[in-house]
This record gives sequence, structure tokens and C-alpha cells, in this order.
Amino acid sequence: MDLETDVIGPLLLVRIRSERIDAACAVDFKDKMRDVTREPPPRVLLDLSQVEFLDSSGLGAVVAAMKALDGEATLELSGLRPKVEKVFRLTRMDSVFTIHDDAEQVVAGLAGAA
Amino acid sequence: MGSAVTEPIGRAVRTAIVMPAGMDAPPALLDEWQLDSSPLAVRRTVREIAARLADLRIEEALCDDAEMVLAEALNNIVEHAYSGQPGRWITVSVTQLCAALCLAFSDEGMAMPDLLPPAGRLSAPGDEIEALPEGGFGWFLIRSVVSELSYRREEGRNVLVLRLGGPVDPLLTA
Repeated sequence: MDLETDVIGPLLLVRIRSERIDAACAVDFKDKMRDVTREPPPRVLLDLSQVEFLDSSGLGAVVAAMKALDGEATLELSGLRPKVEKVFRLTRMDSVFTIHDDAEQVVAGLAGAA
Repeated sequence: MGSAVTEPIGRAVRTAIVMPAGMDAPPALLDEWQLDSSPLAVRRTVREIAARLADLRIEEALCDDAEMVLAEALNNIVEHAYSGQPGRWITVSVTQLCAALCLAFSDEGMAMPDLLPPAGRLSAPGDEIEALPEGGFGWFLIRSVVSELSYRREEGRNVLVLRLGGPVDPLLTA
């Protein structure tokens, strides 16, 4: 499970560089998310555009990552591909997270606001 | 002797998957896979079966649902039937019935509690982030997309059969 991070003003952008978040890597994902969000800026954006498949363990790990922020930051998502989007929609977790189509748009929006 | 379970109240459990009406073509067994009870073996097998289904030009939505259901059912076997212990076997067979797919799973792990597949109920997530569930989504997802499901215990083995596509069994939503 590879993560890439970028701090852009008030935003921490975390890009997942793996095709799957499943039972084989959910714990690793949770640990790495905890490491990169120890002192988070107000917004954390998790870009899933490279994630082709996410199972229920992966979904649980994303929820756990949000809980681990402990109210210090919000966790937003971007780039949900069809199979990933379906898991969020069926479980209604799409109503819990702010979901953006594209991480670059969010970043461009920050620059516009500055 | 197997202890077959038939149609308990309100839960779709049958001893055998019923062939949907009008599907006269003989079912075609695509293949059978045997795998180790480990998350990495599950990942490998799910990817392999998904690739095979895509090659067969099975409708994309059905392939996607099959991939999800395969992952959830296999993870449950690893985590619950075998309590996370690797080195045990699981078999999956995939059969095509016209526009439907049948996935049959077998393992020699622990039986499902009360010999019933979990109801997989999910309450709507509330506003409290702390109270959000981090698990229990698996059976909910399986039940969300399958059109029929059957589970039985047979000679110390679990046999779970899931059908995707074709008419929806009314018992599923009972």
C-alpha cells in the first residue's frame, strides 16, 4: 500500500498509489493513514482515483481513518471509480463523506480562493 | 449426513438454487478454483475470476457485482469460518446460466451461527462520526446485489451458493 502526500495550504492531499484496498491491506492502509495525518491541516483529501476496487474491509478502513482524525480535520474523498463508488453508495457512506469528482479541481479551487 | 437448512422464516436460505424460468440453456461450469484461507490468496483469486469473466464478455455490471460478492464471501470464510487461520482450503466454482452467474463456495471451517447466513442489516449512518460502523458491511453488500442465496452444512463443510442476475428470489426481501 503506497501513499503519496502533499500539503497545499490548508489541505493535506493523500493519493493512494494502489489498485486495491481490500482485506489484505486494510490494516496497513489504516496505519499509514494514521502516520500521515498525525498533525493534519483542517482538510484532508483522500484521492482514490487510482483505486479500482475496494471491499468492505477497505471501506471500514476509510471510516476508521476519518474517526482517527478525531475532529481535528475533515476527511474528504475524490476520484471514486465505479466499483468503489458503488460500495459507498450501497452502504450510504456516500452521505457521510464530502465526495469530489476530481482532486485537481479541489486544489484549483484553493488557489482561486487564495 | 448433511444437515440441510430449508427456508427459515424471513431469510432466503434454500438447499439448492432454483433455475430461473425461461433459462433453458444448460448451465456452463466456467471453472473451479481452490485457494488457501489467506487474504492474499483471496485477492489473487478474485482478480483471476474477475479477469476471466471480463474475457467472456459478461455484462460489466454483472462482472463488477461478482467481483464484490466474491471478495466479501471469501473474506468472510477466511475471517469467520477459519477464524483468520491460513493454510486451510476454500473452493469456488463459477457457473454461467444464460444471463446469470452462480458462485458456489465450499470450506471445512466452522458453520454459520444457527446455520443461517447473517442478515447483514445496516442502519443508516447518523451524524455522529464516532458512532459510524467500521465493519459489518460484508453481508449487507452481498445481500444488496445477489438475486438468490442458499447455504447448507454438508458433511462438515459449508456450502454457500449465490446467484447474480436473473429474477430476484422473493424470499431475499422477505
